[in-house]
Amino acid sequence: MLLTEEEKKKDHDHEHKDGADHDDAHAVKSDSQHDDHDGHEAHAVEAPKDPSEYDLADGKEAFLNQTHLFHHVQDSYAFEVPKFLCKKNEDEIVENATVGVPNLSLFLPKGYGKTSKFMFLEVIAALILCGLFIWLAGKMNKGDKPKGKFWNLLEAFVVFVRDEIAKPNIGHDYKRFLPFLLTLFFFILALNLLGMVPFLGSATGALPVTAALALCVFAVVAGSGIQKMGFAGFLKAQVPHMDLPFNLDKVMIPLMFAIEIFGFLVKHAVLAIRLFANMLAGHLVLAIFVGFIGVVSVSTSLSLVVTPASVLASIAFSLLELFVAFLQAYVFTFLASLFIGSAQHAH
Amino acid sequence: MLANLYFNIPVLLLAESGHGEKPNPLAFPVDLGIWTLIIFLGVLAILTKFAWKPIMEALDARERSISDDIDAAAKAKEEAETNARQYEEKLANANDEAAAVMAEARQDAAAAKERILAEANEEAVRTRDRAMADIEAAKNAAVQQLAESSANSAVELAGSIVGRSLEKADHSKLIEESLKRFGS
Repeated sequence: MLLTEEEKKKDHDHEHKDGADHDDAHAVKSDSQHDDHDGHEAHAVEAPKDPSEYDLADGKEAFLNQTHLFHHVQDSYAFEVPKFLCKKNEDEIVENATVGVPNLSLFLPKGYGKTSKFMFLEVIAALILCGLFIWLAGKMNKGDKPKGKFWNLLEAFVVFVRDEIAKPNIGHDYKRFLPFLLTLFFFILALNLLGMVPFLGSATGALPVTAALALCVFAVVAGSGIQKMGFAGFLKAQVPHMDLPFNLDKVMIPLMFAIEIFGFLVKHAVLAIRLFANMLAGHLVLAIFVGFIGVVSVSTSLSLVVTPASVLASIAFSLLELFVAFLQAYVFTFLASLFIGSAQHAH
Repeated sequence: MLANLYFNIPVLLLAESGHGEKPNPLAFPVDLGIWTLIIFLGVLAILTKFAWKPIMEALDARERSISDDIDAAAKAKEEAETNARQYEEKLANANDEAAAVMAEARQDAAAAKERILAEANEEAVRTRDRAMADIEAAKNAAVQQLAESSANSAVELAGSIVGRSLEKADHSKLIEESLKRFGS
């Protein structure tokens, strides 16, 4: 995703420079890498000049500056699209090829709840999940034999969440929490995987999203614990039992209580931060590797070395990100079920 | 030239863009959080009702049926083994029985043969004896008849020769005398 985009952007920047410098006399077709990506760039690119002539620190040229990098991984109110879609004629320079996010909060008064990219992607993920699993439920309800790759794939995931996540961590009461854990797992997985689709984004790379999910986990953990042991019992269960000499327990127990409650809150906060940081970092690394191509595009010889390396590295990191998408969904759900399990039983 | 670029890279990394605000990865737009909460809870509600419950039930039902099938298969196998053992036993018994039946039949046949032969022999002997007796009787009758008729004719002949007719008593007496003579 980022690759094509960056490449295109870079190409356009080059064209821009060609035009701006009025330096088109020498038609040295030197940048071979450009031919691979853009057919429309028919007119020649001049030989690279001294990079110092370019204002490399300028935000528009700097592919590796923070604004540019974070722009690709953060929420916004527009989808980036391939630039050629916005190009009306060959010479036109498209700075930002974007399509606004359709406003979904129709029921809210004007000015409230503007739909962002991530909100839209969450709706897409929700629709995909509902479609998939209601379809699966229909199939399974008929009592047919599990047939077909997709059916078995989905079933394998569902059974995995049940047998490998919920059952060992929660124990005999796991069935009550299964719908929550399954939804959690697949919702996070869907958002993570949507982040791997070109021109979309990873909503789990935004802190409010993961915080909302962690809040849900917190509510379920505290709710189920209180339901099981009562409010006072739940709070008491946070402090491990200790045999202390003298009147030490008068001091220790309040202290322990404060620490345990703090830890209880922190571990849920960390749940949110872990997922957010993993997704954000992964996509940032990808953006940086692709950004190298843009940075070195001022020099042909450097490009010849760096561009293939960047492409290979971004492929490798994309694969890693694909793995991380599954891993983080697993980790989040696993920890959620671990917390639920520990809230069910006293320390 | 290249060195120039390399020296510039740190600058690039640290560069502040002239336009746009500074990126803040920890920015916390609350509306996105609330939106996420709503969407997540919505998905949870919908999927719990229309997907997870039916899927879990179907999985449980399938697992139950698989476990039942395995139990049934084990039971069926056991039964089959018992049956096979029984049939083998029966088969062995049947062989023995068949041999016994054959032996008995052969014995019966031999006995019957003996009996039939004996009967036939007996019958033959009896028939021959009867025939012999008949022959004897017929021979005796014939001899007697011959004796009587020859006596009569001798008497008649003698009467005619002597010219006198004998009284009946004389007649009988004469016959008896003649027979005695004839017999001796």
